[in-house]
Amino acid sequence: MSARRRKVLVVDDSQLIHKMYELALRAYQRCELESHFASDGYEGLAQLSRHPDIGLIMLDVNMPTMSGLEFLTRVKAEPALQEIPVVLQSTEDSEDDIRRGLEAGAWGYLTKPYTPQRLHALLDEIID
Amino acid sequence: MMEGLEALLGEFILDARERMDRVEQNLLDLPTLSDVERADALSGTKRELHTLKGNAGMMGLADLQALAHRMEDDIAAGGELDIGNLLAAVDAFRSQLRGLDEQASVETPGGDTTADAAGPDDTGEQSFASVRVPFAVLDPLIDLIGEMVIVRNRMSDSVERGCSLDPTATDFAARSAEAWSAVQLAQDSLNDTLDVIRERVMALRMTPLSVLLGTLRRIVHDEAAGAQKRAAFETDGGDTPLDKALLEVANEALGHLVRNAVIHGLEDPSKRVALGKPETGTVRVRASTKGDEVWIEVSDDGGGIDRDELYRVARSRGVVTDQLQDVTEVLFESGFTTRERADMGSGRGVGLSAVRKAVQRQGGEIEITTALGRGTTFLLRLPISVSIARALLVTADDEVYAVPLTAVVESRRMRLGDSHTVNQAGVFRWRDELLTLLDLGWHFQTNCEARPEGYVIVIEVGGKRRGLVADHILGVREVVVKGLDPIVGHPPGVGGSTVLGDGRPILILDPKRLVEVKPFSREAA
Repeated sequence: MSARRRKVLVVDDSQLIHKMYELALRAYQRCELESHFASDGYEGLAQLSRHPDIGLIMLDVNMPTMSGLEFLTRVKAEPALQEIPVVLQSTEDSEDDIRRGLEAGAWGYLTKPYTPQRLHALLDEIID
Repeated sequence: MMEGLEALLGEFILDARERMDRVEQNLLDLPTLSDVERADALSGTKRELHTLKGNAGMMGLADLQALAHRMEDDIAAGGELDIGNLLAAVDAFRSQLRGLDEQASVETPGGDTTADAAGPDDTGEQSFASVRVPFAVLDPLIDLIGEMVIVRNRMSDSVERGCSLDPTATDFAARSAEAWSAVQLAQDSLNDTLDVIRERVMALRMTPLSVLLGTLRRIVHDEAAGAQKRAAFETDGGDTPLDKALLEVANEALGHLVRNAVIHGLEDPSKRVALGKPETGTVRVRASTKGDEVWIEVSDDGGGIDRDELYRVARSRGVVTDQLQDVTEVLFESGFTTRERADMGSGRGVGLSAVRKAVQRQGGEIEITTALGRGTTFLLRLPISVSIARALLVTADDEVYAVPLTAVVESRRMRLGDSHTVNQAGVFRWRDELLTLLDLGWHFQTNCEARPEGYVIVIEVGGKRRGLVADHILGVREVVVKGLDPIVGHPPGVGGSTVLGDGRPILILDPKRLVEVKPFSREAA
């Protein structure tokens, strides 16, 4: 991610998590982040076509319609999108999902519950 | 907790409640599902719990996180599920949410995000005291109000222009007519906009009945488990809209009826089998819209009510049954029970009589039909919406009455000699028919004579017409409909009360009953 103002797409079926991200991303100091949200994989793909300049995807593994892994596979199969780093988020007991996600090309993962500090540290790593 | 997250607590509670409702429904559905559906329901349930666990964790609510985790584990373990145990966990989760809710409403008194989600009256089992409105619905309403402000300003301008005209100027007449018509245009526009706003605001009050069905399903499950009966719960018409203000009374009435259906309606499984019926009884709630009413039927396929037996019991208890239309009406008499002693079900909560009174207070009714050996159906009838009605205000002997506009066909001046007497009843010729008159003063006993002149307000309900006689017509107003205190006696034909702008309480008439009331009889007077 290199543009001054960066767009982050949060794909999660919980509206509550959307709001938590909004708070945490707004509190990030190193650059201005613009958050976009999707409630499932289909909406996620739609958001990506609307905002081709999205620079980071935070992806929930556990979603009702189009699972996180399927969404990830589709993103990685699309030449225009495959370079976007995807960070999986899941609970600590979903090791299988995380392993499969990393194999499918995820940049990394974040297990819930996490603090904004951990999210910010991860953002520091991705954004330089 | 992540800083700033306190503001999301109300949000979390709402979200968690909805998820827990879905978990509960899935659990209650399980016994009725095929293997494929069952697998679906279980994975859906696990997903809800998983999300709940994650969200609770993010909120720093370790207890809830652990509880959701344990439930998820129980389901993931497979094998025979202990549904009773899981439902108890649902209850425990909800009770913790209630605790948080109280905490949230104390922490942000009248505050922002949490206030709507966690109002002080939201701490009970279920509350219908608030409405959630999406911004997409709210914003156009605000736009409409903005529009009204503009029109109002235009109107003030025109009025001012009209007032500042020089009456001696030669073009005074033309100019004042101009100003006057501008005011009228603005007024028409205000009325139109108000109509739209009223319609949309009323629509906000409507809630699908399905919000009540989850609780009912749970009642059927718990009561059947407690009484060692087997009961299936079927619903139809959950999308039927009902005014939010009526949800509470509907919830209480339906809870009572559904509980009754399991406890008093359904037979024991062994008895059902002996009778050649399926072992599992069925309690069905079916809702639909009928005209301006919502009809909700609660039926069971149990033993029905034995009228002879009921009559015998009623007689032995000294309840007079001769005056009742049907012996089943004694079920609505206060304090009446066919049981020798109060059991868990009949000893709890309010009786049918109280339920019926509460329903009647909202302009509804409960009716019963029963077939011995085949089951009983209670029909709960409620008006689709309450609260605000357009009414024609009329006076008779200085008393003001509100006649709901939906029933008014037209009103006519009645001069001396316009009314006649046929079969001792006052009649009035109206559109080639003789309309039976009902003098409001006579009916409400402010006058022992029917007035010979005044106004006739023609009302019509279900094809039946009647002419109400009054002294004056004040005009059409919006009235806020309030129930009547059941303790205060009132003559038939009163549907409710309202308070006028000057604080005077007045009666709202009930046209449905008024078209049935026995008219003025010269002999009786």
